[in-house]
Amino acid sequence: MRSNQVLTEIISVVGEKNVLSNEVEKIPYMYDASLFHGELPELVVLPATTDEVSKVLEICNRYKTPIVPRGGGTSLTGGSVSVKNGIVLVLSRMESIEEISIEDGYVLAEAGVKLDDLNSKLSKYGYFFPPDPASSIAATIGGIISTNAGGLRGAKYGVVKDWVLGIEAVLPTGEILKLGNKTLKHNIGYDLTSLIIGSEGTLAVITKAYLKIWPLPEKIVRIIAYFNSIDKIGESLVEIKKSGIVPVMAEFIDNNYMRILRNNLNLKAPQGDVYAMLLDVDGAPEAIDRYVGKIKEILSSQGANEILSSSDPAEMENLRSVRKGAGSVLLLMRKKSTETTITSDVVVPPSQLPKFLMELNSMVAESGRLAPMLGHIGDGNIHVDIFTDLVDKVELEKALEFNEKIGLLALKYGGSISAEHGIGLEKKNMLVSEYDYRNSGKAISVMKDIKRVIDPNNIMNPGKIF
Amino acid sequence: MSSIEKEIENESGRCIKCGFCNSVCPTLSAKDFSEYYGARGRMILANELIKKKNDDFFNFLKLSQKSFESCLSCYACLMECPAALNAGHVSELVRQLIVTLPRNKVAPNPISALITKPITKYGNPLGLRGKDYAWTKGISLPDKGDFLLFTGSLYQLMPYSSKLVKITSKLGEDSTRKLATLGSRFSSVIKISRLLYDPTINTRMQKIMKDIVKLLQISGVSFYYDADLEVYPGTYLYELGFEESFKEYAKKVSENFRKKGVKKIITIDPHTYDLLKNVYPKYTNFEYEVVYYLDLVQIDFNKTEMSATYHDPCHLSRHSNYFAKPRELISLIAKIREPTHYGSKTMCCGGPDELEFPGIASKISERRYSELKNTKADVILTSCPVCYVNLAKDESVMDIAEFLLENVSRKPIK
Repeated sequence: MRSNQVLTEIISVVGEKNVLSNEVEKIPYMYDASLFHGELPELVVLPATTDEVSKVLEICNRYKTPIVPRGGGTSLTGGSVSVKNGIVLVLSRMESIEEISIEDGYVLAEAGVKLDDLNSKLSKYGYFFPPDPASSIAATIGGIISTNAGGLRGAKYGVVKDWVLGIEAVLPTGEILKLGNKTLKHNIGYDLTSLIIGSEGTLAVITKAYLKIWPLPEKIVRIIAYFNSIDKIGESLVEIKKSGIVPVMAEFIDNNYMRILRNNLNLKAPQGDVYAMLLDVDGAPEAIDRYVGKIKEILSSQGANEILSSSDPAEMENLRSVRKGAGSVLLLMRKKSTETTITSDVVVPPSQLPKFLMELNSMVAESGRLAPMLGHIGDGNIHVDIFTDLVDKVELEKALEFNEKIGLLALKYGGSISAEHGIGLEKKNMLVSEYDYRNSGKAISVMKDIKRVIDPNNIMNPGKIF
Repeated sequence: MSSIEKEIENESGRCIKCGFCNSVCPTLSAKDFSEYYGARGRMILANELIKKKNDDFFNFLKLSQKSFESCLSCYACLMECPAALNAGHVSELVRQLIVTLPRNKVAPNPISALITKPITKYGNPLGLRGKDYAWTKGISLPDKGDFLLFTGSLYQLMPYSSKLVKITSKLGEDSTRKLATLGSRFSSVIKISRLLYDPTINTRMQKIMKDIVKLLQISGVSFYYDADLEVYPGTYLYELGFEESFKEYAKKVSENFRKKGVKKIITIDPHTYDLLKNVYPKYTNFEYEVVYYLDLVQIDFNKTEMSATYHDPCHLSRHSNYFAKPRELISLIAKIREPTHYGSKTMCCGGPDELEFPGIASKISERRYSELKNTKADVILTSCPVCYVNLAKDESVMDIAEFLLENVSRKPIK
């Protein structure tokens, strides 16, 4: 009965064609890019305006119907699938870029705008929005803010929170709040914008955002270097950092990944067991050769056996697409169709990378698991893709335990269990571990208190984070 | 499990659901982002389907059928999938699977059935006779030469199909399906199409075909035309999933070519080119050299101050990796302004959905047309009759053959 009333009221807000209620139409929303298989939602709702979002939330709150906000469905931790039935609220129809102000350095974009579409538009003005998760072709503004996504350019430009000036967010009550502002500076009480960023849809639905934009670099040079062992990768990065050069991107790809990338993504790399480091350096044309020369010198002194660089757009794009597509070609390595991967997303201070990578590599070797790794080492962020079998529950449990072990290793080196993918369904236990490790378990109860104040009926993406 | 089912399982089972494909799937945005109509949704539904057994399988297939039937097979998804998976091909496989299953369990889209039955019966999807689309009137075509000029009938069919689209759009999807269900029981009913055609499009298509002939003649190409070989190549049979019927039909067409001593074939539209070049060899002993007519155009053109944008047809660009030659020729005349999506990353015109899902087709063609107009080029060119009809929303849209002929630096042969 509750379902029927909710359905009727929601249809009156968004129209019948924007409410999916047939089972087969809803099945695709049980999945995102994670290994988690959500429940079949009661409804999938596709609003077109903030006003419609507001009215839908008010209805859901009144009927205590759970709601899962969803953008491109690219979450790697199960953040955008439903685990409590309820409604999946898809923001894809809200895809307009409402304002671009070069003078004031911001763009106002709706939640459903895809990141690559935004950057394509900004590039016409000679500007860009720097954070670039590997899923930028499909990830939406609302989604990347909700997870505080990072990406390849994090080494120099940081993560999404560093680039959000203000947001329009709808509370579970349906009230619309405009938080932060379009200005670069604003001290206006508690920073509720930052509270919503990274809250994974558990507090409010983000409908619009003022994002800081930046001039495109005058010139970028992409460098790829190959090593015969992992031990010098971390050292190379530390030496580059010490030299005062801040690479835009510094990526690491291990030998397991290299095998599949070489075979499937047209990467011309030396044969054999090699590890790769991919770097971008940007700057004024007059200075860039000096930066590139210095980096090559460091890489060479650290034992890189082949170093290539290019500023040709096609070659650079090929290398970038190899890295960006790496996660998606992984399953070509599996031995049977029920195998999948758990993607670990840990971070350590870059200075700790040499020791951390060595210990991590040994841990993976000792486990006997297939667990290729890569990462944005420029900011100390490593992803380990742990192969497991979804059907074999005992094995799946062991793989999840191994994932937690990697998280604990990151904590030991002063890092965190989650860098840029969020907590979602995957890292709930690990979140507790991290705060316990720092004797700060109270932090989680403070978070829960905040959640209760804003969402007393617990309708906002329930089952995630906590 | 049949070989088709195994292939579906293998392709959809390797998908990690990253959603990259959705970002370029034209039907997803045309259906207001319902993933049922998107590339990732199709992969997920195909994978769910293949896990089901007995009646659950058939029931699920019936419910998910429209998802696969609405796929344009434009392969934009393939270009973005880092694992080189192809949701378009998965949709084709499911369409093929449906055709092989008992009709009392699941039946192909009635519109598919309506237009494919006449192909095997009359050698033409609309039951047209040669005189219904005689385009050679007024020109003389050689009967001897190195290349057979094979039109594939697509340009000739456009006046009829566009009229049908106008009718089905007015009727709506459900009424059209009901009528098609009725009509598919009596395949001769399709012959009524002979009376229904768009005269304006008919005139334009005939002109374009004649322009193509003139371009070949000016270029000094040794070609001939044989009306007896001018059969429909079975494009719809293949594209709509009627694999077995296509196989038989294609063998006959191929055999006819062999009997008549054909060695080399000139095609003039992307669908026929793709079919003969890439598909026929997989199903028949097809050993003929197939060329696209633009490859043979060697003419001096007048360089102008004009700007032009070129819409890459999916079957030419993505299916056949063919996008350099049109640009090479256009750039001899005008400055090229590329749209946002071009080359291997072109965007479909929506054409393949125009009969079965006219609402989706119309939204996609509007979007693509806007994108092409946004280039602010003086002319919008394409080299596919389906794309032309879908995009010709103003007079700046032309077939590339018309544009080339208009700008030949010496007068064409009369």
